[in-house]
Amino acid sequence: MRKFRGLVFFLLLMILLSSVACTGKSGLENETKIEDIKSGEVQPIDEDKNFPIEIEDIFGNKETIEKEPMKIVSLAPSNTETLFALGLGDRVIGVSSYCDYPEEAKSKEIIGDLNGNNLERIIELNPDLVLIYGYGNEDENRIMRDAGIRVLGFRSESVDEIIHDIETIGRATGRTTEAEELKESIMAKRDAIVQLVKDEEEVRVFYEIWHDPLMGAGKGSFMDELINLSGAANIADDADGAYPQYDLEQLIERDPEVYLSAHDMEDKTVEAIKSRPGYQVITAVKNNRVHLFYGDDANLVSRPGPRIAEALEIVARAIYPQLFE
Amino acid sequence: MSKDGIKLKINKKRYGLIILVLSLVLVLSIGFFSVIGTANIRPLDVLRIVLSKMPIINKHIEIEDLPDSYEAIIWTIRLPRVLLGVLVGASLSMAGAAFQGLFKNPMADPYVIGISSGAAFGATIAIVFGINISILNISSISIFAFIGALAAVFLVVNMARFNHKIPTTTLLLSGIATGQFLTAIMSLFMVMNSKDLAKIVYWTMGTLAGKGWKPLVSISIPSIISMVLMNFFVKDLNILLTGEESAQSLGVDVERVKTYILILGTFMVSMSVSISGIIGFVGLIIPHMVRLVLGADHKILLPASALVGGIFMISADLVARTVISPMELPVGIITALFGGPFFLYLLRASRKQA
Amino acid sequence: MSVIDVKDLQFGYRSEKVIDDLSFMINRASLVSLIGPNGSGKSTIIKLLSNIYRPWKGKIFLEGQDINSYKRKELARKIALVPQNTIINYEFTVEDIVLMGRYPHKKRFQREDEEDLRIAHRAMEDTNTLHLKDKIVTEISGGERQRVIIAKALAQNPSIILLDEPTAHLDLNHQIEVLNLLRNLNKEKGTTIIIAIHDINLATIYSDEIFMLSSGKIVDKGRPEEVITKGNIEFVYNLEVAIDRNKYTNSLSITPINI
Repeated sequence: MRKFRGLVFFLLLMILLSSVACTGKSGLENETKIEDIKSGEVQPIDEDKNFPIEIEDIFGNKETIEKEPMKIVSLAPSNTETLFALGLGDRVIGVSSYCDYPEEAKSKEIIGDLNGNNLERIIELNPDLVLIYGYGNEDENRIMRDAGIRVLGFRSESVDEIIHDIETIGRATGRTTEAEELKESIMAKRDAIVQLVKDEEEVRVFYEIWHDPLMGAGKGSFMDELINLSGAANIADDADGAYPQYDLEQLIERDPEVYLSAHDMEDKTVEAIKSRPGYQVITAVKNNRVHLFYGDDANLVSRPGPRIAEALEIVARAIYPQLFE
Repeated sequence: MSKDGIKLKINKKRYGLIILVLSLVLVLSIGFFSVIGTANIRPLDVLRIVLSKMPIINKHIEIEDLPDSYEAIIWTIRLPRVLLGVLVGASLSMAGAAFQGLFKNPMADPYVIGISSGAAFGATIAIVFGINISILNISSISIFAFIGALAAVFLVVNMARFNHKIPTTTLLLSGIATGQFLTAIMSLFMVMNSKDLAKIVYWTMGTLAGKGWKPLVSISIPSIISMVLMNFFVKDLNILLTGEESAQSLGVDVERVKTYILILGTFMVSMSVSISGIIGFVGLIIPHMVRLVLGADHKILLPASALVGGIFMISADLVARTVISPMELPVGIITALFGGPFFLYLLRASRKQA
Repeated sequence: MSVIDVKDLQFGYRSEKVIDDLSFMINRASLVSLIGPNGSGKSTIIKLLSNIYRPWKGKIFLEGQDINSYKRKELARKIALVPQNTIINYEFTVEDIVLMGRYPHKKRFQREDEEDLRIAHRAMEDTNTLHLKDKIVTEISGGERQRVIIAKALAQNPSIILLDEPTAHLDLNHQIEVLNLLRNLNKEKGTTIIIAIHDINLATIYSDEIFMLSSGKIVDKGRPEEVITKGNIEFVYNLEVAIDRNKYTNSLSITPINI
């Protein structure tokens, strides 16, 4: 009996820990029947619009879109935002767990998160088009394509790339007009802000992507572009992307005048940042120019998508508040 | 004759001298590495800044001419980092040496009884559940990592315990099994809570950066005391190496010695790991290096491992923080880069001998 | 005059009893051999006598006192153990190993002094290992290592030495060397020697007393002539032997017949 006692204890422990560990979101909350989607909520527009059309995504994948996609799955929040911005919200039948904008996106069926996609469900839904983030998973992509699903991947960091993506998605979905409008609006807003900050003296900025270890936004990253467009200088722009850990000594030596970050952890507050060892001598801390982005703003600055101009605005406002009174 | 001439003829009377020399090298290294860094500060200014913080001398030191940032860099960033490196390197190396003796196994490292997996698991819990109660200026993650490490070892030891004895092979196996188990549960947590995944992974990778004085001050006294106490058992460790039955017949209280060494080793390693994350290879390689040159007598092996470990750790950290400035390499990569090939060399050398 | 008294000993491994109701006496300054087939309990008894194992039931008395009443180091100053196999994978010198024998005589932080060194050297002389003193213990032969371990036992300055198959892996000449050493120790210093040994012929040459064991029990004990009989050998080893006196050494020698 003594021999088994240890084993039983062990098994109980394992069961207990496993059940506690499953605190994550479950995969299938909003199960929509396929029939509902077919039942004509959505009207296809002109039959012979621009289809069939061959689309190439930024990774060189070529897909031939036979007809205007009616059922679209988006596995990344930026793509979801683009689809809704192009007026295709009704055609979106599946999203990722991170897709939280606009509000309607949250009511769509969740089919994946950044760690994995529910491939079976995707195939069951039989969408016309799936938009993924980045390269995606090679095996998953092949399985989807073999099942006759069109897969396009997007990952952009700069305004120009984002606009290009929007145009591509517009062509793929027969929304070229809307895409063009969106592009114009983005560019206009961007130009307005660039104009606004044009004459300001260049301010030294550091954006903290992560703490412990410290990570800054390197050259070519989304935040780097936003800082540059805002007419400021990103002190981390000589940072190589390969190992993102940033040297504290350099942070202090380069002495940013504005310190930005996103409130992504409960305990990351302005006070907490200011009281970190060594931070007290940084100009941004001394002048109370430590700024955190909260809530949806935090999403904005880390999600290169159709709202990039809004993102630019809140960054510029954080850097040059006096211009936005 | 003895091996390929690497080993020096060490007279026992020379032990004191060796320790003295190593200590001197350590102190010089601390000074040296405190002066080097990516921020260009002159050595003399570094010295002035440090002296300006010393209780009595500071009345005579003026550093008005130096920018505030220099003072912040040297005093709040670089110096505590170097000292933390010494403490971590010393703790890991001494514990590694003791465990290699305890388990009579040259492959043993300080994490072999589940400390690293326990600490990582504890950190995971703190991160996933967003726990935020810091005690004595130590972050919650560190506290939970520490508790996790101790709990894991407690589990490991009790699973291996039989009849008031702890057979060392069973202990090793128990450590491996528990380690795997905890890592699996941790992966489950990470997959279920993917937004915390990166944070957990980065914590585990290990870094000496950005800790400041507070955690260092909290762990330094207990760590140093543990290391001093560990040296009480050097004779016992020597004798244990000839076999537990032989040791017992010589009057060594085998089970008690094993228990004390396990407790002290676990304690000192857990403290380091809870602050700096899991830095590998140091605890495994340094004892071998020292043994190669100074021999297997734990009377010299343990303290020398601590000193050499401290020097090695801050050297590796120097490379980590300067070589691709302004970015940093994780220090565990540097220790592995050095440790890996060295370990292969050791294997070859021992195979040649056999 | 008995130096060790064993009463009603019971012991086993896990649930299997190996020693049942064992009682015997060892006389001071005698050289006693424990013989018997594998599994008869020779090694077990050696370990019980050195207090490495605790018996399930029964008592062991050393010099009239319960063996458990001695402090560890105190016991180690009286009894030395030479186990069957000593594997040392670490690079201590021979001198280091022999000096370990002085552990029971030192306090925790006391260093070994000139006296200890002298005793260790004397022990190495007696075991013909002094010339090896600076050699690394992993680089000497098995036979030399065995003698070094004996030297370590001698350095303990014990009044009783327990040896578990000390001649098992040695060449014949080394076997004789070791046994001669033990006999001299016994005769000159009055050290009580208890050996578990499998070679019956050697046992009869050197022993004052032989205990013949089988399945954890003492089948017979006494002087070699009394114990080494055809009947006993057949009973214990299931082997037919002829026993006569060796014309060179005048000791008993057994020869298996009908093989």
